Amino acid sequence: MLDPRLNRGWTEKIMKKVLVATINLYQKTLSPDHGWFSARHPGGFCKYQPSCSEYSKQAIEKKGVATGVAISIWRILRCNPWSQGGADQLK
Amino acid sequence: MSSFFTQILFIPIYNLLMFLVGTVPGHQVAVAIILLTIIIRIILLPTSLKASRSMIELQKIQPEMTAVREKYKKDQKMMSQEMMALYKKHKVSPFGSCLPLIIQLVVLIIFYRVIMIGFNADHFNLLYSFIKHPSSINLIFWGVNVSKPNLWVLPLLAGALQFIQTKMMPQPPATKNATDPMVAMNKQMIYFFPLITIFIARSLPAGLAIYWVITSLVMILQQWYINNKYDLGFIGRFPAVAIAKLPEYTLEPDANPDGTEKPEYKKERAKGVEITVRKRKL
Repeated sequence: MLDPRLNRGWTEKIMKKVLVATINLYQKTLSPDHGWFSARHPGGFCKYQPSCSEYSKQAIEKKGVATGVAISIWRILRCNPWSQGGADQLK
Repeated sequence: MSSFFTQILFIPIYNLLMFLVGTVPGHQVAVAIILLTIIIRIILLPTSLKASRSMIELQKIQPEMTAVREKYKKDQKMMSQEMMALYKKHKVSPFGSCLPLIIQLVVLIIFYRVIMIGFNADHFNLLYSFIKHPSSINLIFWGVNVSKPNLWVLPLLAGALQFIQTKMMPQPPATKNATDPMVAMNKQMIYFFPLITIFIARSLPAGLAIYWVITSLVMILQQWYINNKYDLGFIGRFPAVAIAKLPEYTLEPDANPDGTEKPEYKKERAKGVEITVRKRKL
């Protein structure tokens, strides 16, 4: 039997790779900030800097899947029409 | 987790749709979907108008932004500082927000699930007590079954409207050093994107294609309004800018040869020292 802790590290690694690859794919295609239509938004589309997808990617890479996804969701919720926007680096 | 999303997203929209089905004449599901789509677009209207306005305002100053980007190519910090100063000068800032984009996607997924579970009495137990059970449900609308994929008319319509809508969105005025590969990509995508839409719409139930068509239609009207407001014409063309009027994309003489310019931190530091000195005296 494999050590369950070892197993968890392995799943975490795969999950991280899959999520980051998905975000990369999104950024290369549909993303209004980085993708096909980015030329239309000279100052960037997202009101935050870095954009939500970039922020989420960094968060998942640095903080791990669970925490990273949680703070990504929180960021997207903050990226609403009533918020101020501006510089918002991952802490 | 999934039951949480069911409770908070799926069931309210299911109820709203069933309420509309029960209210509209003929109990047409298609009409209910159209109404619900329009309601969602109306809720999102103020934010999406504001976003398109800020997009055009930013496109107007695009030449200046390219100049800043070119000048501080190697100094990200200075670049973003100068960008902020530019935004302040022209009183603009990016206003796009990601949440409405996600909301639209979530609505699409919920519509898909609602159509998939079917509009039969088996699921009426999901209805809130104050929603009247629809007496009859009509799935056929002008010969189109809402729950089955429609192969030609609706997908082609969705693709065509998507094309018009993408075409109408203004593009930044041409600049002197327009070597940005994304600009060329964008041009190709105007034609390629509607094709993807057609193929996706062909494989989904017709109800979703209806949602897509109505969304595009409303967005075309919105864009038309905005384009008229900024005198850009129906297609959204910026008037050609004379090359002589564009700013020069060259480095200032005092910049470092590698395109960086050292920001002055001295003043801030001096202030900090003053404060600490005062505190010690106290």
